[in-house]
Amino acid sequence: MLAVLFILASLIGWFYLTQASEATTTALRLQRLASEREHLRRERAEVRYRIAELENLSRIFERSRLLGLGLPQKVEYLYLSSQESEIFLALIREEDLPSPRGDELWGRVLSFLRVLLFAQAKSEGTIEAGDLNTGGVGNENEMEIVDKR
Amino acid sequence: MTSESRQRSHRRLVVLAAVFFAFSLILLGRIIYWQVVRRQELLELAELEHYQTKVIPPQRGAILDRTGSLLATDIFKYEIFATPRDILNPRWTAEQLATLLGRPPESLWALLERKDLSVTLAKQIPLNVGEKIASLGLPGVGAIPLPQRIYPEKELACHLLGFVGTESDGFYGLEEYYDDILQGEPGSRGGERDPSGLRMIAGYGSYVPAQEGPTLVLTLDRTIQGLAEEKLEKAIEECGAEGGTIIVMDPSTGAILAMASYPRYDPNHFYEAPQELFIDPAISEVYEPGSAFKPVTIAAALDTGEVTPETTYNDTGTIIVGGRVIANWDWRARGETTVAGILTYSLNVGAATMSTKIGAEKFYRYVRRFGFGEPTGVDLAGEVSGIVKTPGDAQWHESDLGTNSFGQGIGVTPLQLVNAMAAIANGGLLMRPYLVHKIIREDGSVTEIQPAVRRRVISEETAKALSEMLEEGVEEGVARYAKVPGYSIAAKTGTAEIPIPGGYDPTWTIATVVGWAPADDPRFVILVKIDKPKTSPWAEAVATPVFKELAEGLFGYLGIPPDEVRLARDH
Repeated sequence: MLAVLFILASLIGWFYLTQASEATTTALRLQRLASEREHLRRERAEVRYRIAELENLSRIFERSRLLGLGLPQKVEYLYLSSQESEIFLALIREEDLPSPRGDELWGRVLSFLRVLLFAQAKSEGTIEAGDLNTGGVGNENEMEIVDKR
Repeated sequence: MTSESRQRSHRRLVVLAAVFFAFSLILLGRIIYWQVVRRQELLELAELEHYQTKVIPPQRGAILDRTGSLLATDIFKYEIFATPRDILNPRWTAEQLATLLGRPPESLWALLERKDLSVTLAKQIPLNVGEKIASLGLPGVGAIPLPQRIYPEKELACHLLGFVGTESDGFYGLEEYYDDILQGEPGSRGGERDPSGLRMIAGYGSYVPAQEGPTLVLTLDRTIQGLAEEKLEKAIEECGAEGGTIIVMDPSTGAILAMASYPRYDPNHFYEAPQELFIDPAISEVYEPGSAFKPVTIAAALDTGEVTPETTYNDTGTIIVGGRVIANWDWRARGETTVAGILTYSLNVGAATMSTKIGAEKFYRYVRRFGFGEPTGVDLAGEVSGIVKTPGDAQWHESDLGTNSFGQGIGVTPLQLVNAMAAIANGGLLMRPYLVHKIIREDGSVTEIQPAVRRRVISEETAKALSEMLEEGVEEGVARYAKVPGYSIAAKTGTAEIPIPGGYDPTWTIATVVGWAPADDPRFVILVKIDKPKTSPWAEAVATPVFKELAEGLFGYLGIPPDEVRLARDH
């Protein structure tokens, strides 16, 4: 009987200690997490400020000046005919694409030839606008504006 | 024992019992007093002793421009303090701190040797240093992170932003107007402490994180603001002026793109600047606009149907209104002149002729409709109403009907004036100017502020006619220096005298130009105001070139092509 009581008391004691220990560990972990959260919050604010300092308008102007950059002295807007506009757009798009054969120079030559052929075919009226997949170019009166700085 | 001695003994016992009883009653009374009457107070005292709560200061909301560039934010700086009685080895502690704080150990040692309960060792310590000190865990030394407001662009848009004082309260501009929103909610961290003040891990505790204030995204464009401030500063230096203001607005929405005033101050060090610099002249200073007000008079005359742009009057060079002689700025008589000519050549006599023709009641009704004499409702602290005297006011005189028509004897703020012109540019609709475009909360929810129409001021036809008349003023009139080749611009200049007690200042003027571009499809309205220029008193000479340079910059930055290209594209 005594032995049973002893074992029972030991079990209760063990259970209590385990729970108390678990609660303490969790409390400690929560405290650490809360501290970490506050720390990260402060770090984030600091980093955000450092970025803003680097992006400061007067700093950008100063760095640009040192690099020899400046505001445009004159902006010219150029008229482009529909055909010129298509070639221009096609060139831009082809440049943006990776080379079809992995050979950059060869790819560019091919693109250029394609554009030339397309322009010739269009002037002869044997091809419709949009066939080059340039995103649909407009009619003869359409105009592109080039910001020449 | 005799009966007498028994009686005496009995009496003593009774007295003793009575004394005991009385003491018991007193004791019971005291118990009730402490346990019942003052129970709550004692409980709170006990809790204070065992349970300590630390307030976590909230981070004030950031302010961004419309492109997302940071204009104001909070960073954390540490305050290092010590409780000398808890320090076991002051000399060693001083040496540990000296390297990190960059101070001689002797000065710190002297502080740590003091008998005070608590001493502040250092303030404004950078985050990394503060955290290093906190991680050392030196007994008796503490480090508290405190938020500090920072303006990364320094003086840029200082009047508009305002600043945050030492008690974390916003003053002036957006900081004051949105103070309640920007503040955020403080958090707390609480826990039971042992008798030595150390936190008991196994004890009861709580943690409520601080809630960061919402982020304000403005309509302001940092680049346009920078451009406006640069042009303004350059112009003020060149013409030796006292100060000035530039406002750039989107007339179709009322969104303020830039609002610059000079002289400026650095809100990071507001305590070093004279207090008068904190006031935003764009919304808090009233001035007489002079001829820049004439479009309002002509708008009223056209909109009432009393005249058309082609209506003529005989300009004799002077007119008498309410017993006061009103003359043209150059004292010249121009004879038969059209209403359009009043604006093109900025004729005071013509403006007074128009105001007297439509009468005081209608004239002031339009002045009020354009928003003069009342705040524009912009979301900035410190906006004033301006001064508009109307018939019935004790200060109003009949001659005011004449002088007010060309912007004399009437007090406006630069924002009121640019907003009124924006209404003409916007087809007659007066908008509420605004600066905050979005409010983004910590939980990701967004409140978007929509443009608000205040009222229709004039008809679309009147607005169009006025626009054409003002365009003519730039093509061949007094505002010709505002012309940018290839672009149509509608603008009006105003050279105003400054009222002083007993009359007008004989020397100084305030030069203003206000207008928009492109004239037929307005993308921006600009107001340039230069106070007391020395090189020339005339707006044409000092304010108009600034307008032109700024407009040129905006055409490039906003990608507005010349009219020829734009119209060809649109058609």
